[in-house]
Amino acid sequence: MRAFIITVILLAVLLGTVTVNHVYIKEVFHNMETALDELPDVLASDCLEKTLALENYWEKQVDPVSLSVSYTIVDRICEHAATLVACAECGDLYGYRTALALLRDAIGDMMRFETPSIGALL
Amino acid sequence: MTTILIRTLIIYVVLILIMRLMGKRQIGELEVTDLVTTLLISEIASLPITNQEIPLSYAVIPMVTLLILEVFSSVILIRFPKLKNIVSARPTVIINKGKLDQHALRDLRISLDELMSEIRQSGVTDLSEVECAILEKNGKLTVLPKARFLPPTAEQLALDVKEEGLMHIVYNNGVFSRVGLELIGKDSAWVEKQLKRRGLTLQELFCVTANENGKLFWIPKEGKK
Repeated sequence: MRAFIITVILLAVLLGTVTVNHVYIKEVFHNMETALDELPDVLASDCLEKTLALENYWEKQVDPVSLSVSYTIVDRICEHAATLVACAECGDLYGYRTALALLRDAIGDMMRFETPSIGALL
Repeated sequence: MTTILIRTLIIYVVLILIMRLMGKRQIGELEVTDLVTTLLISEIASLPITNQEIPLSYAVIPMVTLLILEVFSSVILIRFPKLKNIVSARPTVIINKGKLDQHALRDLRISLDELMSEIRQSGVTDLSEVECAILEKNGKLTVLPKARFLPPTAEQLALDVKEEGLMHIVYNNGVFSRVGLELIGKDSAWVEKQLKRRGLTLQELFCVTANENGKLFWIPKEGKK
């Protein structure tokens, strides 16, 4: 009976952790997506400031996100965010657009593996 | 995490179905659900140890999920015994009243050699001596020899025998066992007194076992008399 009670508590903790984690990842995804949407397609004067803000925001989320998201995806986001900042800084439009697309793809993967769907489950 | 949780649930159910279809031959000494849990936990636990690319939660979440599934399934199966037939096999009678059920043997995919091997491991060497053989749901074979091949019991021989009771460790390597003493209903002073009457001291003994009837057994320390 004691083992059963402990298991019920564990189930509650597990469901709680999974729910909180899901909500958190979803929030990070939406914030990142919004920040990416706000970035212009062409290199404007406020581009560097916005990309730096985006990179700073992501750097603050890396540790908690790494608890449940594959390090490969986390590393990809870090890498593309850094490339985005570098390209905005030196005015490389081609590199900037490529990094932007890859970063969108990487945060999409982060959310895809967190959302229960046929694709993610299989 | 959500995906990992659902994936674990799917793999657990699929593995149980596969193991169930494989039959009792694959099980060994565990129930299907126990075997599946053991197989999965041992595999999952090694993942983050050997692969640093994987977060610890990728192992912890499935392991906790499996533990919950295991405990819940055992509780559910006790409450609803009919469900047990779905996840675990039923015992199968292979030999009944000395007659071998060849159909059951074929169904279980067990050869006569394997059956003989299992019967020999039960201490019976001749198939004709077997009255009943049942393949239990954990894959073990229970063999009941014919009555005339069984050793006579004290009751059959009309012998007056006393229940000896279990021997418990009461003293081990310099320390008294509180649990052992409680089980035989004695204390450490009683043990010391009994040893003193036999001319022994605790210092020269490696261990002492006793039962509730006061029977004592001891092993001296190596190098001591």
